Amino acid sequence: MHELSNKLANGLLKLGIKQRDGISIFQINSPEYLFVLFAAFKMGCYCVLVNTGLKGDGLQYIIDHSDSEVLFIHWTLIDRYLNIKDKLSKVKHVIIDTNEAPTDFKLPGGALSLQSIMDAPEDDIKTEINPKDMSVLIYTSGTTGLPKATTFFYGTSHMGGALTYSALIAYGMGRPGDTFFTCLPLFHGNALQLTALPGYFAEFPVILSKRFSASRFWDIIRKYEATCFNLLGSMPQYLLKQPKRPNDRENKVWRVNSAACPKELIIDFEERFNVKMYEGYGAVDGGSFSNTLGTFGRKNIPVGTMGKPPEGSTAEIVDDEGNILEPNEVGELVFLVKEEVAKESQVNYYKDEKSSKARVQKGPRGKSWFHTGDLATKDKEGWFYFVDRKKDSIRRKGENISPFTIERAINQHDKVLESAAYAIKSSQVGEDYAEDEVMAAVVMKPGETITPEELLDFCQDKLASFQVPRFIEFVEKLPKSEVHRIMKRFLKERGVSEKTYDREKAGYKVKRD
Amino acid sequence: MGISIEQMMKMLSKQLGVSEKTTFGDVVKTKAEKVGDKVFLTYVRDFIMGLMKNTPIETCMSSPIN
Repeated sequence: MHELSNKLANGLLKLGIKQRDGISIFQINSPEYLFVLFAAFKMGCYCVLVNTGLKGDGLQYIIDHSDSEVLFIHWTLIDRYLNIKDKLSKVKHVIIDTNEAPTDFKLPGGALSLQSIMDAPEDDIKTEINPKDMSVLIYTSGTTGLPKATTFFYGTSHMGGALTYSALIAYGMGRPGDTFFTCLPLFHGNALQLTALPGYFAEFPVILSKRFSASRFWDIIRKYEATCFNLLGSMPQYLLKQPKRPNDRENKVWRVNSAACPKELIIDFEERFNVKMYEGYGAVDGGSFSNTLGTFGRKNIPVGTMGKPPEGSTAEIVDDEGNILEPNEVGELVFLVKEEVAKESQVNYYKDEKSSKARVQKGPRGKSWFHTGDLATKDKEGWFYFVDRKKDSIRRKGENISPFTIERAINQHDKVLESAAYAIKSSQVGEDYAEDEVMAAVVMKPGETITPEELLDFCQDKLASFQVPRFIEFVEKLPKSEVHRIMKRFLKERGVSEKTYDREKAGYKVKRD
Repeated sequence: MGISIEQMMKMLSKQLGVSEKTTFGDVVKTKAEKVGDKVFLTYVRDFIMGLMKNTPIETCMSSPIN
């Protein structure tokens, strides 16, 4: 890595790229992705990790907003670039990774190949890195507006103690002798900051796959003898819905780190694949290490918990007014911001001071709290449990409903592959009252069918009457982000159609509680 | 907890030779000198191609990166 990244850095310096320049990386999972990052960090540039699912205006916005002067692209994504090329006025250098490109692949005018730039000396790069300089920008998905760029700085992410902390993450997620595996995209914090870089610093071998495939997942795990990996979004659900195989329990994995998962799914996953799942919590834009939950070093961990905050940090559950709630009450997860570290732990969105300040709010007693936007509970012993994204919460019949609860019930049906529950505004169905209606989009397993009534019958005993969906639509697939999170905003915008089942119109009677 | 995160950080910093001024490049260089022949990354290179052709996983290449 040292020699290859030196070669690339020297090649970039020769092109005139200098410290503090912005480099957008629009690249699939590959070793070349890491060469670019390593070279950029040696030079003191900042890297913009661009989601490879983006195209058109969404792609152009991020490259332009980030003030990138350099754009790295994988050759398979070249058409996306060509479509917006004329709108990228700030980009001075376009560099294309042509590894394994067809022999007739032609570089667009003005672009250079990554491989030609790497034909440079291996000399060490001598740069005085300023801890206050930006190192990485990662954009949010922009669910409620334009994407915001979470800003990382050298001093808090790629220098000094931050490098040690990166190695510590590896020991928090694995143990000496482990082999990490990731198939999550490197433009996402999980693959890069929780797997690849910690693995590198702590000297754990890392297996990097191009992408997630539920059908081949365990074959790769077995072949490369991975012992530890992270799961996000609907990945556990997808793996569990794969046909059972006699060798399901044959693997060397001892630890699976996961984002929030339903308790029954964890139990099934552990039993079927002979692994132990550990939930954790931390947002990319979380501001600091203090704003995380985990089970590292803890004993007697209850199933389904996200863990506790690190020693010295404080997390609470609050209502909409910021009042701390009693154990097991649902509210927003918040982290106490200590005055002495307020500046270091502040969330920084690039060129968006207003949004940066909004993440930290004063509570009723004058203390500052970092607001996560996630609903959770805390039990009497201080363990935290995920409930849902706050903005996804559904308001119906005076109750706040967690879509997570509804999805858990539907997904338990043997014939269902996955589902998404979300709010439909009454105005979307031609009615005029203040509350939401519950809708579920359901994907069946291949070759399976079910009627909406059968599904409702199945769910009724698992849900309160106000949680039972009014609208059901069977769909081929759900819109997903590159990290397998369901993009509910697209489903919400689409609303109901002629294919949507309406239990009220159909006369289906929900059992009262 | 048996050992605090601060204690672990101190131990690890010593082990990695990291001070507050250590840069990313410094660590990469030190690693290359100390454990340069150790494989850091194995890339499952043509996994997707293997999927498309329905070939068994054993035929898929992988690239070790030091």
